[in-house]
Amino acid sequence: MIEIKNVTKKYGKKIAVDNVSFTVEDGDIFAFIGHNGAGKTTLIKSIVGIHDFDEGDILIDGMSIKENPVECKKLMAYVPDNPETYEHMKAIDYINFICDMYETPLDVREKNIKKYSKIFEMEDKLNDTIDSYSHGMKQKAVLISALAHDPKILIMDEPFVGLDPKAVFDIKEILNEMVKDGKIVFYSTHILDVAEKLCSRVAIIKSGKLVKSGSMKEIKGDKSLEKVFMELEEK
Amino acid sequence: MKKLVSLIKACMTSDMNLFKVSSKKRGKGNIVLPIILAIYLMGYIGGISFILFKELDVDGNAYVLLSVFAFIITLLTFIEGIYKTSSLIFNAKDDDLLLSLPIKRSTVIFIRLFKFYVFELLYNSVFLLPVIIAYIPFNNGSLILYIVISLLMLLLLPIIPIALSSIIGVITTAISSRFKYKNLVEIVFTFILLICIFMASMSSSKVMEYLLNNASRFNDLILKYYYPAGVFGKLVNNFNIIDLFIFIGINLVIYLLTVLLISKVYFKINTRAKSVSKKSSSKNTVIKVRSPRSSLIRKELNTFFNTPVFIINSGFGLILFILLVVVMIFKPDLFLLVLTKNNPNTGLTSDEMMKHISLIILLIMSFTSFMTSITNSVISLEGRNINILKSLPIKTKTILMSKIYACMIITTPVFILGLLALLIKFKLNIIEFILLLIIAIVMPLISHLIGILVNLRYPKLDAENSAEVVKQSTSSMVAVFTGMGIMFFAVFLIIVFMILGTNTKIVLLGFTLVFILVDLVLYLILNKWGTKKFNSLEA
Repeated sequence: MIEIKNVTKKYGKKIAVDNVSFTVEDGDIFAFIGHNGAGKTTLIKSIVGIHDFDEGDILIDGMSIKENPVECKKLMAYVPDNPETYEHMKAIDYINFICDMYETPLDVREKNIKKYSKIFEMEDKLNDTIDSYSHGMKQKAVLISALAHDPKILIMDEPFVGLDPKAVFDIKEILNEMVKDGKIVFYSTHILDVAEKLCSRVAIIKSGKLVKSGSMKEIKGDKSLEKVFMELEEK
Repeated sequence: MKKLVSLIKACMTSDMNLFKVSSKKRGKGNIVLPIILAIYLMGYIGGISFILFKELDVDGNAYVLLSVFAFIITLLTFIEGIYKTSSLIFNAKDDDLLLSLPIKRSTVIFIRLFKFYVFELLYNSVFLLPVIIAYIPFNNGSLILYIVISLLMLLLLPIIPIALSSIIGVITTAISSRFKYKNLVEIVFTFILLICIFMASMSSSKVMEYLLNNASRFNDLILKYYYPAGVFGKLVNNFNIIDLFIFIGINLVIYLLTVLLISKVYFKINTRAKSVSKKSSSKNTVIKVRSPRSSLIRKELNTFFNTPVFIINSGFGLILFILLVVVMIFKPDLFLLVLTKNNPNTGLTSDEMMKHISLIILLIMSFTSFMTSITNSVISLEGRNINILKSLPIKTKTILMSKIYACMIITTPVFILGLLALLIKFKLNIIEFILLLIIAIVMPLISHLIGILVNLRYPKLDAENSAEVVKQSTSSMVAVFTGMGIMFFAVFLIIVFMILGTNTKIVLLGFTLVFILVDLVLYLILNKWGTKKFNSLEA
C-alpha cells in the first residue's frame, strides 16, 4: 500500500505539491492525472525517493520513504517519463545492472527478461547498445528492466509516450496481470480514455493541489473521465 | 545578424554559464571558492611575472616576456582545444535542434567555436590579465595605447589555436568515425598528439636559458615562428599600426576560413560519427548476477571507457607518470639534469639527487597524482541519469564509494607497476619501497575524494555534452586548482626535505601518515556531507 500523507514540496517559494493526501491500495491500477506542470512528476519522484519533500510523509507498505529509503525502494520499480538509461551500455547489461541493484536471483531475472523481451519483441536486440535504439525501444528496455526484478509496486510517469500500439496493448495486459497478483500499478498519464478503461482508481491534481481522488466509478459517474477532467480544469 | 545574436544568446545561457551550478538551486556562496582560487592564481602569476619583468628590465627587455606569455597562452589554448573540440563540435545535445532550424551550417559551427572561444577567453584572462597589469610599471610608452594593445591581444589570442585545434578535432573525428571502435581511435590519436607536445616541452629548460641570455633576439624568434604572439612584445616596444592591422587580419581570416572549412565537411563527418556500429554480433544474451557494489563499479568503468574526453582529460596524469618512469629508467641522467636545471635554487647535483631517489619518485607521484582528477566530473556525468541511481534501493554511501573504487582501479595499478619498475631499476630500500607503495594508494585517494566532494559542491547535471562537464565546469576548474595547490605544497616540502638532507624514510613515513589522515578526514566529510548533498541533487 502507498500512503501519501499531507505531502508538500516547494521549489524556493513556488509550491509544486500542496498538502496532498491519498492512498493506493494493493491490487489497484491507479491513474494520476493533471495538466502539464500540475505537480505529477514531482510527486512521483517524491514517492520513489528521488526528491525530498518539505512536509508530510509517504509510506510504502507502512515504511516511511524518508526513514527507510532503501527498504521502500526495494519494493518499487520506477519508469521515468523520458527513458533515462546509460546509453553506452548494452540493453542486457543495463537490465542486469538494475537487477543487481535489487539483488534479484538469477532464476527470477532469467525468467522475467525472457518473458518481457519476448512480449516487447526485443529478444534479438538486447545485445545492442542503447544508443542505437529509437525512443520507443529505449522505453521498452526501461520497462523490461523495471519488470525484470518482479516489483511489488510499479510506478510509471507517462509510460505510453513514444510506444507503438502493440506495445501499449501489451503493457495494459501486463498491468492487468500484475494487479491480479495483488501488486500495485501507479502511473501518470494524459491519455484519459486508456486510464478510464484500465484503472480502478484515479487522482486528479491541479496546480499542486489534489482536487479529486477515489474509485473510477465515483469520480466519473455517468460522464467520461475526459469530461470530468475538463470541468475540473475550467473551475 | 539578429538571428545570430539570438542564437548565441540562447546557446550561451543554456550551457556556457561558468558559475551555473544547478538550474534549480543557485546561491552566491557557490561562486566564492572559484573566485578566491582565481584571485589566488592571478596573484601568484602576477607576482612571478613582476619578478621576471624586473629581471629583464635591467637590459630594457621586459617587453619580450609579454610575447613569451602570449606564446604560452596560445600553446595552452591549443592543448585545451585538442582535448575538447571534437566533443564540442560533434557531440552536442542541441545538434538536432540547431540542424533543424533554418540557419546555415556555418552559423552552427560559428556558434560552437564561439562558445569555446568565450570560455577560453575567461580562462586566459586568469593567466594573462595579471601579466598585463604586472607590466604597467615597466611600460615606457603611452599607458592607454598599452592597455588597448593588451586588451586586443587578450581578445584575439585564443582565435588561432582554437581554429587549429578545431581542424585537428575534425580530422580526428573524420578518421575515428571510419573505425568500428571510434572512441579508442580518438583516444589514441589525441594521446599521441599530447605526448608529442610533452616531448617538445621537455626542452623548455634550454629555451628559458636562451631567453635569459638572448632576450631581445628571442622576441624576433617568436615573431618569426609564431607572429601573433611575438607581435605583442613588438607592438608594446615599438608600436606600428600596420603590425596591428596584420595581426587583426590574420586572426579574422583564419577564424572565418576555419568556420567555412569545417561547415563544408561537418554534415558528412557528423552523420558518419553518429552512426552507431556497436551492434554486437553475439546473439547469446548473457545474464549474470553481481553484487550491487561490483555492478556499480562496473557501470562507472563502463562510463569512463566510453567517454573519450573523460579518459583523455583524467588519463593524462597517468600517461605522464608512465612517461616519466620510462625516462627515469632509460635516461636517468637526462631526467636528473632537467630536474636540477629547473630547480637551480636547490643547489643539488645529480649525484646528490640520486641519494634521494625515493623522494624524487614521491615528487613525480605527487605531481602526476594531483594532476589526475578523475572524480571531479563523475557526478555531473550522470546528468539526468542521477534519477536512476536515486530511485535504486542502494545506500548513497555505496553509490559514492563505488565511484571512488572505480577510479582507484584505474589509477592504482599504473602507480604500482611504475613503482615496481623503479624498484628493479634503482634497487630501492625495501622499507622506502613499501612506504611508496602505500603512498601510491593513499595519495591518489586524496585526489579522488577531493574531486568527488568538489563535484558534489558544484554539480552540473544539465550539460550539453561530456566535454562541457569534464573541461568547462566550475567543478573541474575548482578541482584542478585545488589539486595544483596541494601539488605545489607537496613538491615544495619534498624539495625542502631534500635540501635539508632529512632522512628519506622519515620523510616518506611522515607523508604516508599525513596522507592517511587527510584521506580519513575527507572520507568522513564524504560520508556525512557528501551523502546529504547527493540526496538533495535534482535533475
